[in-house]
Amino acid sequence: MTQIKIENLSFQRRGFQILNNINLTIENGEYITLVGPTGSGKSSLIGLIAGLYKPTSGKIYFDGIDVTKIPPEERNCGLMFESYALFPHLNILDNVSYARHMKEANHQDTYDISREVIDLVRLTDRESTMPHECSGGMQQRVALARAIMAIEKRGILILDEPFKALDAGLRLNLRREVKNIVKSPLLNMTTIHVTNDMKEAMMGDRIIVLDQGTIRQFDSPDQVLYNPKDLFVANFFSTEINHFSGKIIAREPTEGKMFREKQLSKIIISTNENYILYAKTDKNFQVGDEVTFIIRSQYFKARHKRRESKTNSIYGKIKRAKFMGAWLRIELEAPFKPHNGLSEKNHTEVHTNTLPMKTIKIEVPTTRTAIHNFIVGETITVYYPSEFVIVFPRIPEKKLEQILRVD
Amino acid sequence: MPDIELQHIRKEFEDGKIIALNEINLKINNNDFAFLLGPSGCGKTTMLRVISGLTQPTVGKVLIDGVDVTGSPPQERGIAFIFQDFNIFPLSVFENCTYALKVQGYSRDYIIQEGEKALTIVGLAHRADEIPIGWSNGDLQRLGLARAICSGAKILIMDEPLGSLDPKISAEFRWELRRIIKDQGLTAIQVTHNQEEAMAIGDYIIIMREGLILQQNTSELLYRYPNSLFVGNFLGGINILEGYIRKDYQDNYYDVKIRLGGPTFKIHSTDKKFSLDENVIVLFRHEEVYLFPLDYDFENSQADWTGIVLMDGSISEKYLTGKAMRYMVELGNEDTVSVAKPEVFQYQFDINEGIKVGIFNEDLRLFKYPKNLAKEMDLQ
Amino acid sequence: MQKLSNGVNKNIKKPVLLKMEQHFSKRVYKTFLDILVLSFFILIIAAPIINIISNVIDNIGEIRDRLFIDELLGNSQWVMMVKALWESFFVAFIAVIIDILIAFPIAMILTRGNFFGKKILDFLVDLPMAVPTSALGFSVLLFWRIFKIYPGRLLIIFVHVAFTYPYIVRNLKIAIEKVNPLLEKAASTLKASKWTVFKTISFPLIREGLIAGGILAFTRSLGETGATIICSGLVETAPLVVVALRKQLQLPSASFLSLLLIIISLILLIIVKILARRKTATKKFWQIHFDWEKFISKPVFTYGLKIFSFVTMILLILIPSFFIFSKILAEETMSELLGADNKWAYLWISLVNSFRVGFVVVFIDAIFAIPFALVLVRRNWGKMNSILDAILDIPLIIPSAALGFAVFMFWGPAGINLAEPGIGMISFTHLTFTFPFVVRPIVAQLRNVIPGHEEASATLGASPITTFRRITFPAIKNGIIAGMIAAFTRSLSETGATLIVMGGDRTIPVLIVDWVEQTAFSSASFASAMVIIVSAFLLALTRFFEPKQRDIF
Repeated sequence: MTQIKIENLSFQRRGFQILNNINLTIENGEYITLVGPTGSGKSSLIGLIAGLYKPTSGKIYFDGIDVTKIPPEERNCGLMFESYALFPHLNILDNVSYARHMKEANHQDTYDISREVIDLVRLTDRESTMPHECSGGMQQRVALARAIMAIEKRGILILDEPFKALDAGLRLNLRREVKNIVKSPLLNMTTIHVTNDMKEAMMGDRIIVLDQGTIRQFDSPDQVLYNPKDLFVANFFSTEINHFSGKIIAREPTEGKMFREKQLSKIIISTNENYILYAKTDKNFQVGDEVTFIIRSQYFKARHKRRESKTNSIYGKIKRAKFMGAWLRIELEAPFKPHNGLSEKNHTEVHTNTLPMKTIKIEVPTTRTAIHNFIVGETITVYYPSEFVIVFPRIPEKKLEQILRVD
Repeated sequence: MPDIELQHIRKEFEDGKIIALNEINLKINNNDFAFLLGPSGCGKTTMLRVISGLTQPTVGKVLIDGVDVTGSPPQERGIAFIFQDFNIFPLSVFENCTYALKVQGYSRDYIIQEGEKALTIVGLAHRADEIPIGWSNGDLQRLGLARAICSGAKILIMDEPLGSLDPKISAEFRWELRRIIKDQGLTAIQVTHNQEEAMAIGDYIIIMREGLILQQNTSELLYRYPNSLFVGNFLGGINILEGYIRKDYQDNYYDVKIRLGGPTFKIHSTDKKFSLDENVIVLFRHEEVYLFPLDYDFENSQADWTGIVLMDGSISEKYLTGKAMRYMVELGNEDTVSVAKPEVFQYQFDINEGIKVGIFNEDLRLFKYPKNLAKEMDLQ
Repeated sequence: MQKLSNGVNKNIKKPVLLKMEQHFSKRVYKTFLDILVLSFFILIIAAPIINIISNVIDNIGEIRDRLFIDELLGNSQWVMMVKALWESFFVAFIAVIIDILIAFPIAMILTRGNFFGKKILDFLVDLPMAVPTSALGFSVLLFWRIFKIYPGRLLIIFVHVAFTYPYIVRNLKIAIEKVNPLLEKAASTLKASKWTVFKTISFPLIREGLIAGGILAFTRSLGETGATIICSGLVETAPLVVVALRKQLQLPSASFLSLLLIIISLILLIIVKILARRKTATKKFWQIHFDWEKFISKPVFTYGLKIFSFVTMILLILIPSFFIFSKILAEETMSELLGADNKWAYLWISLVNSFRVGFVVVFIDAIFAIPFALVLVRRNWGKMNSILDAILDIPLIIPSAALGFAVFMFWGPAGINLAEPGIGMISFTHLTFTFPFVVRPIVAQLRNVIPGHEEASATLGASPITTFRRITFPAIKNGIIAGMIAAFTRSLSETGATLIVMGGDRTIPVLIVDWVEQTAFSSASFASAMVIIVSAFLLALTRFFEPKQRDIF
């Protein structure tokens, strides 16, 4: 295991600024996931750490030693390529033991050690097979074993989108297997696992969220999920989100249980659509502040019929209900609430006419009771636990659209 | 009369060394939006190519709208194809879009009219004169879609149209795709390896493996009643327990005793018959496992727990997936099950905490013990 | 039978063109075209070779007598042939080895590197290929004369090194390109030093391609005539003997030697094709001499090697090849040219001849090459495709003198007598040589982006011919032009076969040979310079039209 420190790292290629002033420290033995959309600079960052590229400026330290100018063959770092890059003319045993041959003149010793690692990745009786005879899953494991063998004690392992080429089922199984292997006491490496899949990113001890060459957040999964630094991170770690903008009209401290070790205050927001909604947050907002907040689709609970009395709820007509396996995805059309003054009776008429609508997306677990109980056209009420709301200072409409649009 | 029908289709490559399609029988009806789903190499793309005429089957018949088109080339089948790598011509957007009409000799006015219509539907009307160089994948695919719609064909065949899009973009675009297809009244068949996509926008799903159709049904019925472990595992996370038939109630109900001192379940099975002492696999989903703190009061609870089978367990692992909280629970008999609970679930458990685990008999599916369990579960 | 989205306003006015295209897309026409194209192919390549074989068999008695038991000479003719063959092999082998050694580093950086001036270097490397070999031979002769190296075996080796160089570089590039560069990067992350990467990864994977490329260049050298004649002095290589025998009208002996050369070349070609199919697999892992290999991987050595490669290229290849330009400013040139026997007029007539032949041949080639390329790439005839592919390369492999002789025997008075030695027969031979040059770039482009587009066009209702007109043809257009220019250049440069079939007519390359033999050096220099300039220009033009690597669509 090695500590990695990156200082003011920038990287340009063919006139494009790919990485912009990256600063981070990865501690000994951490399993870090590096995540971001295509083009965010992930491949370049790991290429720089491995030594395949030279930075335009900045420094990289392994355990305090400046390795910035050191070529890849002299860094204590193994890289597992996205396309595996197995040597087609060598069998599995020679592929895996390749790096060891560079240090050890005695072939027999090298093979013995390699066989241990081959056992670890469950390829024990396959050492004489050639790469083109292996399935995708097998090739992936060979590439992993080969990269591991390149690392001396206390080294760095980089996995570049290791599961991208595999089917979903295999991917799920291999994720846990790989993490267990690299975290085992025999190896105990510092690992960087690159992915563009949100769920895979959650595997890490800490997650680096990269976007357009800068680090948006570098935190534990817990923090990234519930305490995202900005809307981009919040959106990236969601399947569907609902966003609201509004003004804080009241604020109260809460008593009792802490939520995720934080003391929260309750704020009451009047949204642009005139809903009155609650949120609980530890951030320091004041009455009168303009805010934008999001609620992930999976935080909602739904009840049939309208329930007027509760302010902290939204009602609407089901526009779309789709069975998605473990979740039922429901889209509601919720009317903007009229200003105070209009009577209850007018609500219903107004609902069907020309008031603008807001689309609310929720996901409820498909337990045995839920499946067929939500029908298109039906009116339901949805509500959420206010601790799960994520609040930001107001984001202007255009920027909001830009971050959420993604195309 | 089904729009697309395949009868006894078989496709071999390299003189029979590779069997891409193996005795395929398929019917797709008018206005259906069918999905072909399966692992890589299962034959889904070959199937599309046989339907469209880009590939000829070794044996069997292809019928489109009741007419045997088996020997006919693609241009005579009345279909439109959307390719995974777009295959946009080096022409302007408008020329791409109206290509089909041009090569069939339609009048200029008609071409302009239909071209504008199709481009408007996909939202590219304002870029009609551009050359699509350096376009995003999403826009290229929109153009491909416009080109297909403009051709006037009523049958749309799509090979992983969203495959090259980033996860978030494809999640958005898929709804647009479905809306357009339904608005235009097209019959569509789409290949994907993304089961979420298939479940979201397909009318029904056809699951393939190694050249065979394993099962065809709506996403819900496939999810709830998979006819094999493979299908079950393919559509989402599953748990399996090994056991044997302890009692046969003779009316399609069986008592199944789980191995190593596990509980006994009473499971209903209509499509398969089992014999006493036969080894079986019991299947259930991650979200079908119920967790209770040890002091949970079952009698006075508001929910209806009749029919639930309870076991002792303890939490061995716990982590966030970004969508739910995942618990690995060790049962009394040393089996481990994977449980997914919403983050807003009222109880939070800690590692090593003892809990009660509940599963409803109705949620269990029974399967014969396969010869090669690892292969069925696609673990290789 | 496309269904329509609305029945109103459609006005299908199927223009005549589309109707015709649909009609001609019918299977019967496809078959007709196939037959036509294959007949052409057989006629210009296979028939002359078969004719030679039958000719030799017919005259086997006379050949045996003449070669082995001649009254005056005993078996001296046979001995001379064997000696000539040995000379050819020896020279070719040495030349190829030297070329591989000095070209390897340059080929590596041209394939893997990305630096300012790469395109210029690429062009420089290719230049000697543009020069007609007789002009090149002459230039080399003048250069090495300064160092007191006169016509003879050494000079032959030098000139073969020069003109084979671009072939070697091209073939090395192809072999290196086949190796995924990511593998080399992977090896360095696996702690291998640069030299170790080369030894354990790059070289084993390139080896087969390297050998194949070497053999191809070998055959090129084996078959060369123009430059060799000028530089040979008293030494005789096999092609030179064929030319001599032809001049002496000893046709059966010439047939025999030609056939021998053809058979040898075909065997080499087969070996190359077999090598292309083999999959590499190593048995035992190499012994890594860690410290030493790390030492020679130091930048000073890797850069040094590249610089060495570059310098030798300039000194041994480029300067000798273009040395001629330093000679043409002498005053004697114009006086010699405009002198008694009116060389100036001959110069222009030969130039006109060269161009006439070139244009006619290239256009006929193009007409047949397009459908042939389509047949090669699109038709699924199994083994037949690879056989056709292999036969296509024959004109590139066989010594031009031998093939020229075969063509002469087939079309001329000794055969079906359709042509007399002269421009007509020159055109026939050039057809044979240039055909592969036009086909190859078209095939390459067809294989690139097009299948998906053609399929898309079909699914959108276009008949195969309409698809060809609207999609395929525009896409291969550049390939066709590039092929035609390459073929034209080849025709311009052709010497060996032309010497055999020219009769009284002259093309520029053989005119240069004539003048060198007459020691009219200044005129020869002038003519050489002219041709070199035209060829270099054409070479630059080809690069402009060459199919680009990546297609956006």
